[in-house]
Amino acid sequence: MQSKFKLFLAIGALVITFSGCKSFQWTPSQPTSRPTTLPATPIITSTNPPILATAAPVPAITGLHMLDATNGWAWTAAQRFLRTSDGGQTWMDRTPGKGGFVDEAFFSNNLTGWMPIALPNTNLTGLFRTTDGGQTWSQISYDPVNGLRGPIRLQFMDTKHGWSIEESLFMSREAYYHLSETQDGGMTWKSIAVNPPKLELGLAPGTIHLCNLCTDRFYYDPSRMIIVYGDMELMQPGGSVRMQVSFDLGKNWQTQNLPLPKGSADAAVAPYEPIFFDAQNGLLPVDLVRILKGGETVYQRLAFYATQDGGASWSLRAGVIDHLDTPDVALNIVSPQDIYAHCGHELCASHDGARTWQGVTSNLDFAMTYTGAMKRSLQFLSFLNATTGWGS
Amino acid sequence: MENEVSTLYKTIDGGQTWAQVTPWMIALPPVTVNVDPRIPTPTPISTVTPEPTDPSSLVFEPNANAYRIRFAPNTTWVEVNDTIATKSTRRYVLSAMQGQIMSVSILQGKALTVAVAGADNQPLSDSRVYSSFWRGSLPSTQDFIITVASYAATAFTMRVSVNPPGQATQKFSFFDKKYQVALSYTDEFAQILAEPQVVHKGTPLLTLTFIDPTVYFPTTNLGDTYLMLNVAVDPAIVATCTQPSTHPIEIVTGLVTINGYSFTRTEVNIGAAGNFFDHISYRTVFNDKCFEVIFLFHSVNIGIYSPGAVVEFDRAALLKRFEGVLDTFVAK
Repeated sequence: MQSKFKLFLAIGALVITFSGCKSFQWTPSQPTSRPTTLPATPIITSTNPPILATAAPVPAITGLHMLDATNGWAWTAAQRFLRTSDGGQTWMDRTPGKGGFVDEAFFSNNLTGWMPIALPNTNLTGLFRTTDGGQTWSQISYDPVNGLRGPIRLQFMDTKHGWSIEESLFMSREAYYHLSETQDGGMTWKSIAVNPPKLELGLAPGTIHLCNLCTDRFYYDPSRMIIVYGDMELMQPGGSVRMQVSFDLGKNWQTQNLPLPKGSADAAVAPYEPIFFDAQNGLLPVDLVRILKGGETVYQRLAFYATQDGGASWSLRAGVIDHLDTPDVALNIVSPQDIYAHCGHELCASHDGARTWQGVTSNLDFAMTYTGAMKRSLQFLSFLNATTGWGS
Repeated sequence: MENEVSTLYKTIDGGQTWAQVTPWMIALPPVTVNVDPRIPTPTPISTVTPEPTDPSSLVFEPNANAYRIRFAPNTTWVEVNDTIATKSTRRYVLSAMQGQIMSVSILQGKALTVAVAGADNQPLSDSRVYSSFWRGSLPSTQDFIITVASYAATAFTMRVSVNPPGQATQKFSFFDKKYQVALSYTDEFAQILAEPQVVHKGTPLLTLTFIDPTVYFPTTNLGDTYLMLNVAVDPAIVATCTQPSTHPIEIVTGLVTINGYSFTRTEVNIGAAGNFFDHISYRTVFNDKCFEVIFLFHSVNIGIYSPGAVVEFDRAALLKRFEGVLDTFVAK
């Protein structure tokens, strides 16, 4: 769930920036015959049992996104969805239903959000929307549903226009991506017709097929599609960061082989999804791992590539973090300049877009340690800006 | 993890100082959920069948910060079906006795790793080694922690076996109903989904890897091992089943009769950039089906290591183990 939340953070950053970006062009296509009308008055109303205790501890938080110094949202391991309005001191359970899948959502502010959920207790699934900070959730569509075929990533540019990326995994190795868009706030959805970079017999139209175990990554927004290929299934170095980019829904794909940092030519690549801050500027984090055939880890590094032309070209940023102790390194890209990441016992911070990194001497030890349990003092980070952040 | 309580930290100086926040739940009016049955049922989108996820019966133990693995009565192994997020870890705990042989293996292979340690924090697996399996003798009677780490978000299947006290191995059976072929193997082997890069004539039915870490690097120069059971029913392939492949050129090294089935044995040794790939194939035709069992040993030129750092892997001993699996081959 943590990874999904990281995505949410990325999406949040992207939307905040895109909404104010005049150069961003998106021409949504027309809706189809999916459900077109939504009754004004809901028929069935169900409620969660009231929360009575005021001194109850907060369940383990697995994802956190603060909108500002006081307002934020959190997900817990127990599938609860929480809201704070006092900087994290107290939390309100705003989970729609109980026992459902609530780990994917998109919130444009502290009041308005969309969440694809499955509610086993009512045997109903669908997309729910709130406009009062989670006090009331209303079903607006059956699609996209969550937890049935695979995880859904939602993103809205405004109250009307948005898209979803549905990921289906097959036999763990194969990952299939299906894109949909809405122009009416999520009430109706239409598949986005995209062409994959490689034709594949039997592949459903509009489906992108990647290798999940390889750690291939897929990014979509209405301006571009990006695939970054990973080497982690076989751990065989590919000699570069291999990427394909399309600006016309897959009619044409540009192949790019980004050079690896000096001293990392023999690394296997484990990319993250790229993050865009506006129409032109984005960052691509990449883990570089050198593991001998016998299994000995030689190094693990975190490098960044930056684009200033919307993804058409990428250049390696000079700063590379070395000596990552385990794969589960928290990475928090706060802005084009400000980035935080675990790096051994320290927190590493960059305030110039990964050109340089500084170790932050802290009162916490960030290394993975055994203290009766193998864990970090902070499993994830959520910075609001260069100075203010939360962790858990 | 579901039962854990959250501790939140906050910084206002860029991470230099973290102040602990003790968060609390507050009472509010209940959430209202409006479900509208008048929304038409959508047409299902054609998509691939997702991998089934097992609603695991694992119970989280806060003290161990891990999910407790329990074997069903009178069983000595279990398959844990679980999911893991990108770049994260999942911890499991189980109890076992001193001297018992435990093994842990991930079906999905190298995209996930396992580390095994005692509850006393003594690691059993080699922390230098990135491996999706571990097997060994337990040094004491206590709880043991298995940590699974992943670079990819995925569902995964983990086999955990603990042999009865005093028993060196236990047996697992494979049977393919469609092609009516069976093999047995000990807990020294585990199934793996990855398909090794090896020339084969048939469709893979089963791929095993040897999971005793002591036969591999950094003890020896051995990197990977695989045992594949394949089948082909295409008449053209069946007709040439026992003929050696020419790409790469296989050398026929014998005719072997196992359980009444007459196998043609071939070998290929490929060396490249200090890597050696040792393929040994056994092929037989039975009931118009071409069956093949392939061993693959991937090793590294020992000359690249400092003298004495690793030893040459014992090919003969390993081959004997693999042939032990082949010896159980039965087709109907």
